[in-house]
Amino acid sequence: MSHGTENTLRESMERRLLERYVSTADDKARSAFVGTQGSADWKAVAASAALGLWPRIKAIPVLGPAVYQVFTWVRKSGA
Amino acid sequence: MRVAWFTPLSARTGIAKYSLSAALAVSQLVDVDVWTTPREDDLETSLTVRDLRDPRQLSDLPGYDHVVYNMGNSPDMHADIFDVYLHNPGVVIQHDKTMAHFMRVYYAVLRSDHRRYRDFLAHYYGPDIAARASRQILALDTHTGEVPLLEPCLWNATAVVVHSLDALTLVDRYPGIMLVESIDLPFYLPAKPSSRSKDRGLLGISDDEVLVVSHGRMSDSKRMEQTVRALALLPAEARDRVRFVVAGGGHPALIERAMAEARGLGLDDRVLITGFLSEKDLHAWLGAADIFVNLRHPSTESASGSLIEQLTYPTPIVVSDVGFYASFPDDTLVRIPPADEGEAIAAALAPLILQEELRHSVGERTQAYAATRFDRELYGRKFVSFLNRVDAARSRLSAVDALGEGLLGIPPEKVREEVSRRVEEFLLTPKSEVS
Repeated sequence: MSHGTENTLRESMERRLLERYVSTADDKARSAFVGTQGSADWKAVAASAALGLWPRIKAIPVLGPAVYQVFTWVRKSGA
Repeated sequence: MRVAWFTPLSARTGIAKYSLSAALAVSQLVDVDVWTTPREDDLETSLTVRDLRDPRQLSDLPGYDHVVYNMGNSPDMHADIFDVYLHNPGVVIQHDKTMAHFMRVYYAVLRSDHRRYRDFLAHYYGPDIAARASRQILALDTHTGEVPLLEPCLWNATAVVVHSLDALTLVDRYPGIMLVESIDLPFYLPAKPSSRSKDRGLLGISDDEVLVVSHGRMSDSKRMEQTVRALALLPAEARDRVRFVVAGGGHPALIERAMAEARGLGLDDRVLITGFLSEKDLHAWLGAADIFVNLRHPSTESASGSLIEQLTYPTPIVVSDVGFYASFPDDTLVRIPPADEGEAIAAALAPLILQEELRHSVGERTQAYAATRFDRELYGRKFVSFLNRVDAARSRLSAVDALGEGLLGIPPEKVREEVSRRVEEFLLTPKSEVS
């Protein structure tokens, strides 16, 4: 077997085994392995939830303006 | 040899027509049972049909020599088959070059497991594509980008069959350990014989009109609007004789867009979109056609079922010069650039509309070529021969897959290193010990 063929075979085998691992690992192990653990998509989830809830919060007389002021402060302070 | 053939049988998918024809061809040489989710509009078959939703029946799968999965990009038709595949390795017949839509719906919607979907994208295509997928699921983005995501159809496959050489490169992911093969689709089940002249009369097509037909489910990639636009670019003597019929249906918005284009060009009396048709009515249109148009841009199918169907008629076919269509000899299919907006379609249609002799000679030549390439018996022989080769290679693939045992108990950060170590050890093992 030539080095080129052996390298191809090695890559093939490793690829197959890693893909089978990714397909069967549990959520925690899988996301740690592929590097999505703690990824930033929680921001998208939070933003989506906030956008969905905002019309209801806004309708509450005192709470609505207060939440808006806190949001504005957070945004301006760069928190 | 016993084969379990997983496929949709619904008349709503072209894959069912192909699949039944293929299963029948294979059943001439080995025992084949069809496994499906029964639906009201299933095509009839003389083969034994088993219900894949019944767990008691699924316990019979180990009694088969091969399990064959027909996979396509429609979640409605293939989600239940994919479920079985995930737990039972087998030969995958991959019908589409992209499974992006299927995987998104399967994982993020049907299984409510968007994290798995995101992680698959991250593993195969990187974190940026995965982040876009998360945003898409949350309706914060409209697209994940052009990724095929057919890899999940491969990791539990014992081998993969596609229907064109360009699809072959997409599935040859584990060279040296998993066999892949391109086998041309077989002709479908013979259509009911119809009388061309009688059909034309019944369909309202006069003798001096030239009938151009496209068929199948309408989509943007089939370039209906561009074909309508091409009619307006024809020389007057050709334009006045032509009728363009789409023998099939699609989303009402797509139909309206194509008809609006026709109205805008003053061609609405020359264009007809029939809506979904029975097999009998479909073949009446196909048999009555003078010219077929079968365009794709982009081309996402491993081959084209509608083209195979058209090739049973001695009728010239205008196609996009891409993928499966590009695999034909120059003097058969009439090819145009895939992204053409109408000019090349018109240039291809004009001589065919005006010259009856040209239509006959091109159509008959193409049909004769197709008769040898897409012969059903040939398909059966090639498929069974491939299964025999899969048998011969199975011990090596099983030995490789067995190397993955116990990986789930290893910390994720050490898995890559452990896999490399096991593979290295395997390659150093004398072949006699692994075969």
